[in-house]
Amino acid sequence: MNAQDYWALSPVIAMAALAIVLLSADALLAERMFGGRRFGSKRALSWIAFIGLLGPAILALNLWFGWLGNSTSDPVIYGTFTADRFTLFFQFLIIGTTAAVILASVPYLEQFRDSLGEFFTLLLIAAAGMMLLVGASELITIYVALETTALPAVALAALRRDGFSIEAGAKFLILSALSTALLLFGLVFLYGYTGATRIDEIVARLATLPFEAGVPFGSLAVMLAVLLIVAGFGFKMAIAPWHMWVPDVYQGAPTPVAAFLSVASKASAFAVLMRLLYSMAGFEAVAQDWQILFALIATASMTVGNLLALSQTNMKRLLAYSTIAQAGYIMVGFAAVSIASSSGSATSGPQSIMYYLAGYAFTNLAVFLGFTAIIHRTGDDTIAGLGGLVKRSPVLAVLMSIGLLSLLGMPPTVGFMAKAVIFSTAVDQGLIWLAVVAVVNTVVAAYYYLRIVGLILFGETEDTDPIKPAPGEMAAVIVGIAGAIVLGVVPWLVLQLIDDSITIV
Amino acid sequence: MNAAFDSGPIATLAFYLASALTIASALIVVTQRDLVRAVVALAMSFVGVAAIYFILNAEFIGVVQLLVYVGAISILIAFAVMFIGDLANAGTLSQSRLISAVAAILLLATVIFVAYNTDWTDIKDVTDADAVAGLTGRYEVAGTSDDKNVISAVNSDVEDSRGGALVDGSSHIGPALISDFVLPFETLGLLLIAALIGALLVIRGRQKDDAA
Repeated sequence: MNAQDYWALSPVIAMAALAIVLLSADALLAERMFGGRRFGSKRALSWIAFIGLLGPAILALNLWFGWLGNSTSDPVIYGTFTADRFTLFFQFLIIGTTAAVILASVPYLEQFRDSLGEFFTLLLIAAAGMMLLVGASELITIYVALETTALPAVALAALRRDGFSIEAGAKFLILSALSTALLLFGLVFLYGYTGATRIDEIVARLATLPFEAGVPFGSLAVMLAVLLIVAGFGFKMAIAPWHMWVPDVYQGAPTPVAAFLSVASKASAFAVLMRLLYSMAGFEAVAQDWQILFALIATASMTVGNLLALSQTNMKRLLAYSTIAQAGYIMVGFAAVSIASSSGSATSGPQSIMYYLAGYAFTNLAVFLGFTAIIHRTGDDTIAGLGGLVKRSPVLAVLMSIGLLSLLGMPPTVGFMAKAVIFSTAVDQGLIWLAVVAVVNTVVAAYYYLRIVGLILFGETEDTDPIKPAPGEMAAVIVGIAGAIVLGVVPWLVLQLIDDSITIV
Repeated sequence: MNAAFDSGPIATLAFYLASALTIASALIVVTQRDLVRAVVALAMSFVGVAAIYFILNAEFIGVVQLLVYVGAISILIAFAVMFIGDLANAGTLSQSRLISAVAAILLLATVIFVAYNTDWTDIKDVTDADAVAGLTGRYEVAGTSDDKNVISAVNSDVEDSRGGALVDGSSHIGPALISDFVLPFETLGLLLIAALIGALLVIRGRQKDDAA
């Protein structure tokens, strides 16, 4: 390990250190210590966590701009980690998501007063694991980082400890273990066939191994490895047919945790799959196989998510199915992989995926956290319970409507631009049928999104007590919706940023 | 099939016996409804895996497997089972048994098919020095260039490990943990903290519920 290795890893180290600081601060801020009031002192933990996130954020910015130390996009630490701009892009996404979740979950967390320190510690360890995962460029590191994100998430999902929450935790634990086993099996096949665990070496090795024409991916072993790896990450990305756990876990887990999982966990799984995929898809010959595989997954995920969402009566379950469908739209970008597009750019696939993910992060966080604030105060998580929300909290009602319209894909929000970019990329690659399926799915999705918007804005309610969200919740929701509109109106700002971040192709 | 170990008749027989033990005990683990019996079967399955490590000349991993898994983990699981008590009817997740069975058999069939139809000896034919070094995990950093590709294989070691029996790997495990794999190794520390806190968090909640 030399200085450069430490610099490359510094955002991750800072995030892990913050987790440990929170754990110690929790002990120091124990009840009645320093004569503090019972919750008054513990509440400081939220602020320590929130402000402490500046540490990893500044260190990541430092790497991006190269202020101090040498930033490099080559693999460091014996090839196990790559702190290129692609990694940093996703690290910013994860830090931002964590900050929003912490900011918005303060009122919600009063019910977990005794476990506040553990909550933040586990959340930050999961975030550190994700930040490591998005930059991992070696199979064992990928596996360990993935486990570091999964285990804290399991404990967080079971935090509420009622029947639903324990069931959510147990389901999450077992299915997460199953998916990791599949992934591990895939990694073992890849290692057994190529004899290397570093991605760059695997790619070099695959080039020297015989390529059988007619067999998908040129070799049965690679084919099985790819299928198992995609299946393993499929659980984390919550795409069909590996989506069964999502509604139960989102319903049973504390809602801020569900928001965290639906954005950060999903984005980091997409990131590591992109890194693996675009390193290996350098071969023109296998691009076609990738395309078919991901086109099928995208179709399944969009269709299953949207059709099942139609019949939901519970808001959390509906949002869960909505995220499955959203992951399907992102998969459309994966299907449009490495074949150079008609515009001559080979990066339009990854660019559209990252743009969609950025927009999805802002929008989905705002929607999840906004509904968390509402459901937490009304105690009613059915869709019908949202009726006439505009009379109880006009600001939240308007913000949530914009958020839902962005998830649906209405201009001028980012949802529209992202869908336009990703679908047109698919058309560029000759996947016209997939673009048609995606558009039809969007129309289906309009039914349930618009139904909720209608209920919120024009529904009737007997309960007219105003809902007053806390400043932190409002701030997180407003930032999310503002981001959704800004990214939608001036997409070139972020598209330029994303272009700089595509260092993996 | 390419057998990396000394594939004499006795080694082959031992391999099949150990595999049979592993698979048979694993089947008992998943079908047995009595948790204590399942734990004993799990320990036997660990013994079978340890035997396979020994047959593959990975004595160190075999000993660790015996000490840690058969010795410690099994006992821990047995204690946990005793503390939790009656869980005999806690099988609520197995509602769709048919689907699970079909999926598992399909996966098994695919894996066996691919394993038999893949020429695993292909990697023997790689002559590129870098590639051979990667295959065997033996590197020697040549020169001071920062180019990551400037690595050359230690050829005698390569022949050692590819021809006939594998060399004893225990002396390479320590250095590997603090060089090539230092990042995942250190990350495990973070993972263990998370596991510890998470377990305490869930269990503490249970105790409070019981007391209330």
